[in-house]
Amino acid sequence: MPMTQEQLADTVRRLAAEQVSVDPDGVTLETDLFADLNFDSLDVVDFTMKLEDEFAVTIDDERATGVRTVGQAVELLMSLRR
Amino acid sequence: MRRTALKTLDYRTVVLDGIPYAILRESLLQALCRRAGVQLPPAPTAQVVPADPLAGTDLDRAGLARRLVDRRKRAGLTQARLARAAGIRVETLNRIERGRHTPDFATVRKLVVAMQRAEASVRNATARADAAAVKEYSNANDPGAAR
Repeated sequence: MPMTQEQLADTVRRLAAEQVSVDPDGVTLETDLFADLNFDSLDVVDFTMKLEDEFAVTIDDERATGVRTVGQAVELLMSLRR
Repeated sequence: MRRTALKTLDYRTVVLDGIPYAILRESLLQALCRRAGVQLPPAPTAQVVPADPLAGTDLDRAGLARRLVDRRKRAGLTQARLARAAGIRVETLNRIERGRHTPDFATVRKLVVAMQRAEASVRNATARADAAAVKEYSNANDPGAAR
């Protein structure tokens, strides 16, 4: 059964939280990876590669660079899975 | 600290409050415990490092540089080897690691991919070394088992 958008969003929130060792309950779609979670460029790359592994997709560098929030990561993944 | 070799089992000793402790590679301890049929209690979880308040800002370059250097060393790579594996110029990597240059996403990705490959090969080599050490140690102490 394909993953629903809600399940996908939960996984993205969990992976974002794990990247910086924070509680996933505090991470929402509006959470800003940089301003709220203090991601640096190494975190962004690690996070992107984990999303690629988890969802079996390839995210090109340019699109990955455009992601600032958890919600934007979810939208990007939804567009890649179509 | 004193380095001691017992047969092929490598460990170091350290004395704290008059009590000697043995320090050995964690993966080797796990391999020995598996061989002895002893269950290890779960290791204390790694301390959570608080988020760097400078991360994501221009001031973050130094933090990124530090993390990259740590990770490269963990992967057992020199700057020259990492640069070659990642397909970037060693001068560029050197400037990144000194916090003089902010790498773009594509460059960081190349570095991470190259370091992951190196980390995997270090892990495989360590697992082989642990297995060989456990086997040799067992044979030395129980010659019957070698047959």
